[in-house]
Amino acid sequence: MINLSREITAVPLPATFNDQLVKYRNEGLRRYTESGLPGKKVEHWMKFDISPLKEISYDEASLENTIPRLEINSEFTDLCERIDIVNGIVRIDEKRKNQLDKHYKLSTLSTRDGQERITEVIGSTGDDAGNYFYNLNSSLFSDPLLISVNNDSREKPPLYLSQMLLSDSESIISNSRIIIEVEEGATLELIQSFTGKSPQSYLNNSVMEIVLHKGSRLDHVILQEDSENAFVFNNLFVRQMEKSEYNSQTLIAGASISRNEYDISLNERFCSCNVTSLFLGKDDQLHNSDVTIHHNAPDCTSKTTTKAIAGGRAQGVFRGFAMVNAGAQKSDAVQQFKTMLLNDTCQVNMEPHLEIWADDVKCSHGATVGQLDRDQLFYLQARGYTPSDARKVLMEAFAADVAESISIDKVNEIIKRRIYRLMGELYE
Amino acid sequence: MENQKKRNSIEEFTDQEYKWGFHTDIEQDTVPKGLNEDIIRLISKKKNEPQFLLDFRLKAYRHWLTMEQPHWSHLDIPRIDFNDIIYYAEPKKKKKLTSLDEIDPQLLETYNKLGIPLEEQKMMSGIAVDAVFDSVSVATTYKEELGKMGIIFGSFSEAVQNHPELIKEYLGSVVPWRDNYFATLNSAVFTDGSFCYIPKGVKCPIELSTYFRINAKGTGQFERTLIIADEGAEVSYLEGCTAPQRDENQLHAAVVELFAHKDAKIKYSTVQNWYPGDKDGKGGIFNFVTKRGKCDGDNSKISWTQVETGSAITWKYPGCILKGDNSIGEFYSIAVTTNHQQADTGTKMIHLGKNTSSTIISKGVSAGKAQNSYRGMVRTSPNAVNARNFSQCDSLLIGDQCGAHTFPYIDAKGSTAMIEHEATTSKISDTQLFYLQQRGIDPEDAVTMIVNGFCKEVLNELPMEFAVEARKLLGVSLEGTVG
Amino acid sequence: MLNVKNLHASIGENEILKGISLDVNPGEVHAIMGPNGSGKSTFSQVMAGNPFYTVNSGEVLYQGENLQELEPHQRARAGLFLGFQYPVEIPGVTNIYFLKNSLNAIREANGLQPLDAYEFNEYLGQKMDDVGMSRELTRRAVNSGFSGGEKKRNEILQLLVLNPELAILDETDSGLDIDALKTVAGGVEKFRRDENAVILVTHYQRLLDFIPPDFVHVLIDGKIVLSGDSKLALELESRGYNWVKEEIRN
Repeated sequence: MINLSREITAVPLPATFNDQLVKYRNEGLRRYTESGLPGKKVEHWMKFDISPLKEISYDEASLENTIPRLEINSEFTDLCERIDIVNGIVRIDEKRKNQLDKHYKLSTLSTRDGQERITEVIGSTGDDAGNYFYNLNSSLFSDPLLISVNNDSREKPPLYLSQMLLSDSESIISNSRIIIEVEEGATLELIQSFTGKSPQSYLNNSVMEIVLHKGSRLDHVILQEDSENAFVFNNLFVRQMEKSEYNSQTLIAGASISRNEYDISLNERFCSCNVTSLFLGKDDQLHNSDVTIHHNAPDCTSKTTTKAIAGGRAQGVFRGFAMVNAGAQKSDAVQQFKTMLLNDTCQVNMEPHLEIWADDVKCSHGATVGQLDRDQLFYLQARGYTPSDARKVLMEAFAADVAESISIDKVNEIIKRRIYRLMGELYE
Repeated sequence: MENQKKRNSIEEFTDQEYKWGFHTDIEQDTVPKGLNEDIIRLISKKKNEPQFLLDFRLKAYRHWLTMEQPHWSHLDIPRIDFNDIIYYAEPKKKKKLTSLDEIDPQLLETYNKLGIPLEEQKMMSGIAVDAVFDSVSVATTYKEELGKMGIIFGSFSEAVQNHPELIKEYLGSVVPWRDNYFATLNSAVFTDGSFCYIPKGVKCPIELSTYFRINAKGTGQFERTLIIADEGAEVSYLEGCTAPQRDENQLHAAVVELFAHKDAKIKYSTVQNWYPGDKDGKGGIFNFVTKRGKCDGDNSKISWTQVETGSAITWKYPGCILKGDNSIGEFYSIAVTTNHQQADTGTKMIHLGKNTSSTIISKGVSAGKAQNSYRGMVRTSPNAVNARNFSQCDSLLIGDQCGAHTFPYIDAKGSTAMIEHEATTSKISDTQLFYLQQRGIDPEDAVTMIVNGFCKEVLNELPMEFAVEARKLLGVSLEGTVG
Repeated sequence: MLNVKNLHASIGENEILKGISLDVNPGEVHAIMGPNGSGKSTFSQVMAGNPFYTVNSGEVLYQGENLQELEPHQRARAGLFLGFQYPVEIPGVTNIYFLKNSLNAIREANGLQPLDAYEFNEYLGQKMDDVGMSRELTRRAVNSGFSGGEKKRNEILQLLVLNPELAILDETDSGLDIDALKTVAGGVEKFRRDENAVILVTHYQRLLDFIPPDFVHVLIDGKIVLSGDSKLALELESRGYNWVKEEIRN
């Protein structure tokens, strides 16, 4: 049993781990023992209160006592190659394995050289930046996955990674560790989803470490439509080399308490990253998005767009940190936070922070609450829309706009439709 | 005979207290270092305060003992030993100099550059003022004029004597005695400050300034200021001056409370040139002023305007509580730091009533190896129907060794709230500098001109004389930053 | 007044001016013409001392003194004026404030008394009438929200207010309609005296119809390849720069 309000002791290591992985996990446990999880007295965690996570004792997720996989997101199955992580265990459909191997190099505990390759790169992006939930993951992960993509100039289908937690009775906890390496000049299109089902609350604490080599590109779509009693923590660490591009769009509509942490380092010149997310909050949902961008080299561009529409008694806590370090001249860093509140019982907290240590830079941020363009509202009404219908139309456009920046073929349409459906649920 | 008896019994009583280690000579008016209930009672007694005020102090002191001194991980502040401070000293106990020759020539040069008249220079350095410039009589004339209109303006201690009912009603109404560590300490040991009351419907005809308060220069670390504008009243208050505030006291824990009734307007302007610290930036002032304005009545308005240069870490930022419907809160600030200075400024706007609005315009200029941070909070409650906020925080960097940081916090509740916050960071463009130089303006003047342009929106909000002083101060502060 | 001998200048590693020589005397109007990228603007900026450009070799004497030794603002105070091709905006600084300070800085450097607010207003008013600018523009921030044409007119206004000895006008005519062009030309004519000189850097002949040059120099690839009188400008107009390139090849 794992209880997050106490130290974690004596969790058995997977028998298949080699020495290095054992060492890494033990080091992870040491880090977690030192840091623990933050209490309500620590500043940010007053607003984003994770105490419900600590009130539960979890079983480590496994493939026992589980229920059949949920058949969802089937639109992606046709478009993409697929990898499943169910209860933290990597499952690759035998029928599709050959196809997958053609385009992607997958390393797991059971593939040849899998462990060697994984130990070479594990922790390389997260170890110096991660804390709390990263440390928790480092102390409990059991089935790591490494996906490498190289530039063999073959047309690659996008990859769909489904992370699902299923239980028939108990509360379970799962810690997935996924490492993505996009080699020089290569491109990866990745769709990642978080879903699950269980009569009790469960915690899906996933860490994804991404290394983008010179001239590479990652288009990353993240869908979190988890069940209403779920706790979903998605920790993303990205390291970018020269001229690489990272584009991600995240849609958060599910779970009871969820958190997305993005920690992106632009380490060499001419990198760019574009991180967009949309939180559609209802009922008593609590969500926190923290996006930290480190400009460590000159001539890099970063753009963070965070949008939220909250209804019910939902609460969204959004923080953005743009750190432009000394020497990162000609940096261009923009953060935009745009939120809407549908009633008087929901709330948003926004903290766009800029720390600038170089002078020849263009940095700006903006944060707005409740802004719908007055001219647009009037135009619709002049064409016969009632004021509330006009608002609805504009809000849908506001939300769906997030899908615009998705460049993966057909996926932006799928996501747009999904957003319209979710918006409908918000109004109920 | 009666009086003699009374005096004897007082002496008897105080003799007893001497047993506890006080100075034997009452005339000397000094008190040993340290803080305890007896010292507070003594302070209150020396100031001849009514019982309610002593109770207020003691309540605060007892609560302070239960509080923990806050500390900041990223600031280099040694823990303050509160027992190493003298809490009561005779007013104006500053070293008396006899001539301008005894003053640091650099200080004099600054005074000259800022255009401060000679007599004022003497006054500010604590030199005995001769009969030519009679500050006492000037102040008296003012007080008479203002008195005719029903305006009360003077020192806080005077107000305690002459208008205790006002003090009783309003003290702690905007910054409660348990509000924060330093405000609580201040509530226990505050020495003096300004008090101002503007009666109903009266618009104060002149700008009130600390210059005209007697004992202006002698105020200590724990100032307490209270300004009350009754219904329909208006007042503009100026604090500070452009001469560098050199002080042995590193810690200032002041409290400023502004209370605006229905339809009232209060404007509070500060122009401050903090001691910049030594060449490594050490020894700057820690300025823990809790400044808060309460727009209590409908349609009231409170504006904070500040121009600060030098090294000061300010904690607890000037803020407004917008309780009255349609009330307005404003914050305009310029903070300039050079060399190794640090500035940490910001504001808090709390929207409670209906149709309230707040405007925040903050301009930070950093040069050399300085750090400039803006920290602001905007909060709207669900009852704050149609709350409006607009914030603009801009930073200008001069040179590549300095830093500019913006940390806004927005907590929004309420479906009709409209909040807009924008921040930009940039440097002075070489193109602008070259353009001005090609028109004959030397590089340093060019920088000053551009910085003044950058800060224009805030400078326009300052009362006239302050704006002129502030512009000069910007120029003086930026000297040596080019090249 | 101005003697340029074999001037080489570059931006970073690219050499733009590859040996320019030019002499300008008081009372003269010189036109420097050339195709885009020939180095015309570079020449203007280097004369004004823009630190973005590096002078590699060559000599520039202004009034007999070595111009290279002077900082940009010192060159301005010595009487050198550059009308920028792309005048920059300076928010928050009003035109009137900026110009008054500029004029007084130059006056003081030359031993003259600065003008007070009243005197300056009068003086400025006259000059604004000369270029047909509305008084309202004095309160606007420098070049802020100005159209291209208004910016160019603002440069000419400054020319008249500051009254330099040597005016270098960099493509002051580009983007102007015929009326604006006439106003600009009128301003330059008002400026001209026997004691001062003008260098017009331009791509087109148009402006030269209104301000006949005494000398025309053709700048191609960073060098003055051909010089002549005003008739040369007309030839260029009808035959284009390629004709010059041909001529030189032969």
